[in-house]
Amino acid sequence: MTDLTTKLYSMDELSKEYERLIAGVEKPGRYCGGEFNSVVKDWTETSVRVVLAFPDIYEIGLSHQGLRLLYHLINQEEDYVAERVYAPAHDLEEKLQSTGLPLFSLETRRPLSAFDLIGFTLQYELSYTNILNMLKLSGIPWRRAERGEDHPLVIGGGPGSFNPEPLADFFDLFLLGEGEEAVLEILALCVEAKRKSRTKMELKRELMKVPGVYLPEFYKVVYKQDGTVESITPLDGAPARVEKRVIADFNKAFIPDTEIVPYIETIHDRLMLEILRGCSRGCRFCQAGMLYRPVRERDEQLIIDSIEKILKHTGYEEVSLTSLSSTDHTRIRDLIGVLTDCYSPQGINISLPSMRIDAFSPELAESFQGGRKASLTFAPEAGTDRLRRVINKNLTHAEIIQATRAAFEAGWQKLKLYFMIGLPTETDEDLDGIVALAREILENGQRIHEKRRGQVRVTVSVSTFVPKAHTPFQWRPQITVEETLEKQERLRAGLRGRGLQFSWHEAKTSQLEGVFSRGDRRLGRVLEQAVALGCKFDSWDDWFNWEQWCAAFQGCGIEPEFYTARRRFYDEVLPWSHLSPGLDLDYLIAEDQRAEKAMLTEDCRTGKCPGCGVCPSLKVTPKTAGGGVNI
Amino acid sequence: MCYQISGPARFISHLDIIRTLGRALRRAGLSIAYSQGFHPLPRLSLGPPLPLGIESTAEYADLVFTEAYPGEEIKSRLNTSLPLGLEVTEVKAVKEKVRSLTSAINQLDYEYLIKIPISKGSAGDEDSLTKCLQELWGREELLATKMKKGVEKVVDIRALWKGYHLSNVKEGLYRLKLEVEYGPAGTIRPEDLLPFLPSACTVERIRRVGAWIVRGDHKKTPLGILGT
Repeated sequence: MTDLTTKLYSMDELSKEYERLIAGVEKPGRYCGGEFNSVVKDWTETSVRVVLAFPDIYEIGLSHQGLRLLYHLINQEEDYVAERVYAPAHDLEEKLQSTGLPLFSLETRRPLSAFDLIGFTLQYELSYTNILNMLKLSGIPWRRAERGEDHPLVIGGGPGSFNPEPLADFFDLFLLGEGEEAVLEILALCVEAKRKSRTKMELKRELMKVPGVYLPEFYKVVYKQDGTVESITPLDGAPARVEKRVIADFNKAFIPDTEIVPYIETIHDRLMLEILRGCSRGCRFCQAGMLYRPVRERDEQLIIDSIEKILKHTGYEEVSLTSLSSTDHTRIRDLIGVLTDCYSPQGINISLPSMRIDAFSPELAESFQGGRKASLTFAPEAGTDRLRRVINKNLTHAEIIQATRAAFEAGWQKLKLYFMIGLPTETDEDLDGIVALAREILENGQRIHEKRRGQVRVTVSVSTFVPKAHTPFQWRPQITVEETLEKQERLRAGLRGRGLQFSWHEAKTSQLEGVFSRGDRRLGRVLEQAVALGCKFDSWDDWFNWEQWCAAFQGCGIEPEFYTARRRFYDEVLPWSHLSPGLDLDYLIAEDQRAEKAMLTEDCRTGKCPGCGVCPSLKVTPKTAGGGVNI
Repeated sequence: MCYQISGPARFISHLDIIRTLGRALRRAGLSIAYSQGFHPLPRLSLGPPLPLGIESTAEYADLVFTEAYPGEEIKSRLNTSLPLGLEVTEVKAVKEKVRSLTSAINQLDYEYLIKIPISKGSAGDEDSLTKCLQELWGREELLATKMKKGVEKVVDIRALWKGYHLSNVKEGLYRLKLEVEYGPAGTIRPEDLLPFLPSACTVERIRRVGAWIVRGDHKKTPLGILGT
């Protein structure tokens, strides 16, 4: 499996070798470690060591909130070590291969095989090749069956663990849902296993009892002749259904006092504080909205106090109030007011990752951009009111026009509009709706900026809809590469002209994402072949190699269209049927049928429970921070 | 102020150092002044950029504060807030405006630690370095290939070379101090010299060890010139 010629080095020699490697790459800052607030522990005084792995480059990986949180959560326990590793860029990978040195952690520059656990975050399907590649560069067999007692446990978490089946042969366990509590439970069992000299198998049987833990080897999957799943059978007492973990009281959830402050610039180089978890809007295409229910808002004072503490420890010049839909926080206006009053005089900006069109206010947007008027992004998602009702995006044409007009009137000249193509029931009329909407907005902008018409710009950014597991659209076919190209061409033709810009997602990349997002275990072999053929960094257009992927699919006798283009039946056993974010199947079916009729379903914040099933099945309730909204 | 760069911090680019210092100042609770305009930036300017991967004991920065702190206080508060590899060594508080560091500094010193394998008792290799430097120093021109915006360019660096000093640390190990000009005419980057050294030499480490303001016969550090 691995062609790594591992020489034996002492820690000291290894450290010198690594020093030389790092000094020779284009961006050594990605690998040198030592960032402010990073934690370096003496291993001899700890019993369990975890390396948190992000399967993409440093600048992206360090920006990820989840791993940052787990890093500090684990390290605040004296007995545990958490270090970090990111996917090496091409230049370091070449050097690792030519020297035969294994991939190393940032903190103590130890090879990954020296750790007890490797925790990968599964943020997007197109990072899966990097996971295998990172294991390969570590000299660790990527197939679980080929790993021995001394190899680390390979575990995964994040949205991908709600359908991790394509990775089932490589991972020891997946954690479903929120990790703040479960990770510590898992580590406690690892400590105990070490103390009692338990075998890996004995440890796994203990881990099986932890709610939210999914051990793929304890499930036997049988396929039908037509390639669909016949049955998924739990073995050796494994639960028939693994339910996600959810933090009941989000106000009590762990908030680190501090954050790692990178030396080099990362994509989200700011303090990020999660102000609420979950989203109750119920957009039918949105997997995150389905996976992280119910809505739980953090109290205003807790947010304010946490920000103060973290700013003191980091010195950041920007604070982002993050969540799936931050303007939904019931106290958001007061919160932004208090924070802006407090931090503006210190030159610290408060911002939101995104703003809903119906919550848009020019004053807020201006304060987020620190008084500047850079470009503004809006997400109408679809081109007509009808199609927006299909996806349950409760937003009308009039509201979009009103908000964009307000933006132009407040002085903005460049707007970006984000849409999806290939949504269920989409027709040419909906595509033409995108063009018409963009043109109407442009004309309004040109009228408002009469004297600077030429500077008004409307950019239409279009991605291809990829149906995801555990959403009402999980049974729907995805559009093919050809359909995608036709639709893109129609938009391109319609969006020619001064002031309009069109940008799109690579059609083939979306196909690959579609295959893995609703894939099954048979894709494990395809993934292996693709990595062997050199596929990696598939989310990067420069690296994505569709021909190699086609060769990998062909080599395994698997047609990618089976996963993407097929309409699934409601009674089909889906590869992720045994994994549950707490949603009722009946709710998902009902939502899919309401979509067909372009019927809206109300937000549960309004008090009308759509019956998604999460609260009763996980014994939780939604919680807002106040402000008169009744749940 | 004068500060040092070592360890992981030597991999931080010039712009990243500025951001890193800005954040350290915030953490230290020192009230730095901000520039005017839409995008206020801390009033913090650095001396000549340090090439990536090279350590330094002689980095200089000018900072403008809105409060009058004693120099020692700035130093101690900042040092507790700086990341690994950055350390303030001296701070001098002045009231008047000063000339920008990049235009005032006109000489930089680099120190190379050079290893020469001692082969079978012959002193030839050790001598070769001494001779090589003498020969280079005697030349009229020294053509170095530099990358400028992705294009190779041949430049004469001899005129920018101000002096050198070679000393023996121990058997097989030499310390070479190189004095180069810095200014509108350009400068010598420490790696420019490497192709000219005898092939038997391996450079163990390069550090910047001095940044000077030279006016006629007077040679002072940017802090030295401020008086007391």
